[in-house]
Amino acid sequence: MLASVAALLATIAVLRIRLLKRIARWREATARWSPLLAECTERVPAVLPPLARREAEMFLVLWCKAQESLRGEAQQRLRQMARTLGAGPIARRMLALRRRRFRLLALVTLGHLREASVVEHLMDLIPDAPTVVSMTAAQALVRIDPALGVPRVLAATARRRDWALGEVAALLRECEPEHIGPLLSAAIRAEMRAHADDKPAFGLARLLRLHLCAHADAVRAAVLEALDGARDLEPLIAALDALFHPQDADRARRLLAHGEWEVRAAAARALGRLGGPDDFERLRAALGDRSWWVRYRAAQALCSLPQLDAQALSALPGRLTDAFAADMLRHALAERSAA
Amino acid sequence: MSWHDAAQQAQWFFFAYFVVLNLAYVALNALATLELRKYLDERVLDLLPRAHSPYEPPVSLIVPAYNEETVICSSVLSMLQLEYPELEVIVVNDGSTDGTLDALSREFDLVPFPEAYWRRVQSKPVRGVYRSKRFPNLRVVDKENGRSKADATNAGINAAHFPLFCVVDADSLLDRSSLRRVVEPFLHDPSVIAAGGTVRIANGCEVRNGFVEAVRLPTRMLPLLQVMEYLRAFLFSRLCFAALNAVPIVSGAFGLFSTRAVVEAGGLRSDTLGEDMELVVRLHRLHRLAGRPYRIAFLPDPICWTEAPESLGVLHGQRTRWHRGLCESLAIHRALVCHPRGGAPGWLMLPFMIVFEWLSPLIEAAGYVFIVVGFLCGVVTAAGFWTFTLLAVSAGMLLSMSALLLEERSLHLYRGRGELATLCAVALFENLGYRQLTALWRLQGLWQWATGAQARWGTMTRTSTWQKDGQP
Repeated sequence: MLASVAALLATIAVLRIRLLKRIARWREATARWSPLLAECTERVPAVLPPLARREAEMFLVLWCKAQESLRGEAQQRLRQMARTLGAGPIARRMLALRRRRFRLLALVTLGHLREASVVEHLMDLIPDAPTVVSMTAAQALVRIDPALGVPRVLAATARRRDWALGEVAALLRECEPEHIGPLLSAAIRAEMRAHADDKPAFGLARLLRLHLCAHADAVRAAVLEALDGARDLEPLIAALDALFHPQDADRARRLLAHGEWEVRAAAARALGRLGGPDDFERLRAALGDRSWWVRYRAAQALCSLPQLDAQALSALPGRLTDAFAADMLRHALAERSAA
Repeated sequence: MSWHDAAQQAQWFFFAYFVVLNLAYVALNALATLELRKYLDERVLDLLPRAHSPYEPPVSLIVPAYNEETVICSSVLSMLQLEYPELEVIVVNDGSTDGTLDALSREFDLVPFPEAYWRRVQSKPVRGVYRSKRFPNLRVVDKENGRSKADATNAGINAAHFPLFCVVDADSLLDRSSLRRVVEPFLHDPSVIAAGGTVRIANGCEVRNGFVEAVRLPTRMLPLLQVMEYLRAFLFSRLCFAALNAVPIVSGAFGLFSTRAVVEAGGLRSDTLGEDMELVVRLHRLHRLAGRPYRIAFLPDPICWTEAPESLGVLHGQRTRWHRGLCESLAIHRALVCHPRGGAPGWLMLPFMIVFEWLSPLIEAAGYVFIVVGFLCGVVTAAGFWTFTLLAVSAGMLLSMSALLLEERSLHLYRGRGELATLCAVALFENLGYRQLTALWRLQGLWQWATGAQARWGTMTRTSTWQKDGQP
C-alpha cells in the first residue's frame, strides 16, 4: 500500500513537470505566432517560418481564435497563411485521430479553411456523432458550403434535442438572414408533414424557435401554417411566440380561451406585442384567469398595449373587484415603471 | 467462540472495512478520470469566443440571507455582474436580527414593490418585497425567520419568475461565467432538472470585486486540510455518480434547478439540515418511481468558491450538521434503496452512501477504539495493532494521493511555487489525526440525528478578508 502511495507521488511529480513544460511550449508558440498572425491580417509575407509538428496544435488554436474574432478580408488572408503553412493536411490528419480534442480542433480549422474535400465526412458526422462533435461538424459544413449545410443543419436540429438552439442560432447567424428564411420555412413545412405521421412534435417547436435567425416576413407564412395546424402544446406555444405582425393578432385572441394555461399565457404575451386598444377588455378579463402565469402575462400585455391612457391604466387596479387581478396589475405596473 | 477468536474476527472486520472504504473511493476516482478526460477534451472549444443568445433560459438567482450584514452587499453586487443574458437576483432576508435589510436598502436604494406573491411552496409569511431603483433586476424578499435556509429558499422560489432558479449562499464567490457554465447541461438535454458544480475553498485565493482572480492555497493549516479533504471525498466521486445519473447532492452553495420540477416536488424541506442533499435525493426518488425521464448533471469545473472554517469549533459544528443532514436524507428516502425502479440511485448511490458515508464514522471510530483498547488490554497483539494502524493510515494516504493525482491530471488549479509539494504533504499528514477527528465529529452528527436534537441555521464565523480588500 505504501509502495502504491510512493508510486502515485512520483507520478504526480512527473505530471507537474510535464505541465510546466507544456505551459512553456505554449508561451513560446504564442510569442512566435501571435505577431505573425497579427501581421497576416494586413499582409501575408512572401516567406513564412515552417510550422513545426510539435507546435501544430498550439498554432491551430491561436489561428482559430484569430479567425473567430475577425471578419472579411482579414479572415481571407489568414486562410492564405494557414494554407501556405500546410494547416489543411495537418487538420485532416488530426480528424482521423481518436482523441476528441484533436478531432474538434480539426473540424473548426477545416471549417475556417473552407476545405471542400471533407464535406462528405462532415455530413456523416451530423446525424449521429456525439453532441459536441456533430455540432462542430455542422458549423464547419455551414462555413464551407452554406447552401448544402443549412438544410442539413435544420433537419438535424429538428431531430437532435441535444443540440442547443443558441448554438444552432449562432451558427445560422454566420449566413445571410435572407438565405435562412426560405430554408427555415421549408424545414418547418417538412417537419409539419413528418409530424402528420405522428412523429414527435418537439422538432417543429425547435424549428419555430429559430425564427429569430431569419427575416420575420420570410417565415411568416410557415409560422401561420404551423400555428393553424399544430395539435401539440410545444409547437403551438413556439408559433405564438413567433408571431410578429399585427394582422396575425386574431389568432392569438382566439387562443386566449385555450384549455391549457401555457397556451393562454403565450397568447396573452403575443397580444402584448401585437394587440391594440381593442384588446383591453379581453386582457382585462384574462386578469381573472385561474392561472397565475396567465394573469401575469395578461397584466404585462395590458401595460404594453399602445394608445392606452396611462392614468386610466394606473387607476384600474382600484376599480377591479377581483383582488388577485388587482394585485397582478399593480405588480405589472410597478415592473413597467422600474424598467 | 473464545474472546481471542472474537477479537480476531472483529479485527478482520475493521481491517476489511477500512481497506474496502478507501479502495471504493479510489475506484470512483479512477472512473471519474474517464469522464473528466472526455469533458476536458470538449473544452478545447472554450478557447474560442462564444456569444450569448436569447435562447439561454432566464435564471432567478436566489440568495438566502440570515444575519449577513457584513457580506451581503458586496456579494449581491458581484452576482449582478455575472455574464448572463437574462437574470433576476432575489435576496431573501430570513428575519435577520442584524442590519442585513438596512444595508441592502442603503446600498441598492430599495423601494417597496407590490409583488403578486404566489405561495407555490411552503414558507413563513413574507413581510414585504422591495425592488432596487439602481438595479431593476434585483428584488429583496423580507420574511419572518423560518429557522432554516430551506424556508428562505422556498420564499425565493415563490418570488421567482423564471424557469430556472439558482440558489447561492450569500458568502459564495462565483466566476463571471459560473452561471453560463452551469446552465449548459439544460441547453443540451431537455430532461435535465438540476445541475451543480464543484465547490472549492476560497481561503487563500486572490479575490477582486467579488470574483476569484487567482487560485492559491490557504496559509492556515485547518483550511489547507479541508482543501485536501474536498478533493478526496467530495469532488471526483460525484463526477463518477453523475455519469450514472446518480448525483447524491447539488451543493447548497451554488446549484441550478428547474423551478417547475422543484415546485412539483414541494420545494425544499425545512425540517432537515441537509436540505440540498434531501432535495436531490427526493428528485431522484420522485422521478424514478414515476418512471419520468430526468437527469441531474454535475460539472467538474470549479464554479463556486466558499470560505472554509478556520477554527476547530466552527468546523466541528459544520461537520456534525453535514453528517446529520446526510442521515436525515438517507432515512427519509430509504424506500428508494434497492427499489425495483430505483436505477443507479437506488441500487448504487444510496447503498454506497449508507455503507461508506452514513455508517463510516461509527465503524471507523469503533475500529480505532477497539484496536487501541484491545491492544492495551492484550486482546489485540502488537503485530495486529501495528498492521491495522499502518494499513488504515496507508489506505487513507492512497486515497488522498489518488485524488491529488486526478486533480493534477485534469484541472491542476494550484500552480503556485511549492503548492503541489504542500498538497502532497497534506495528503499524507491529513491521515494522521485530521481524518480521525472528523470521523468523531460525524459520529456526533449521527448521534444527534438518532436522538432527534433540534435543527437550526448553522452559524459561520467569517474572516472574509476579500470583503474588506475588494469592495466592488
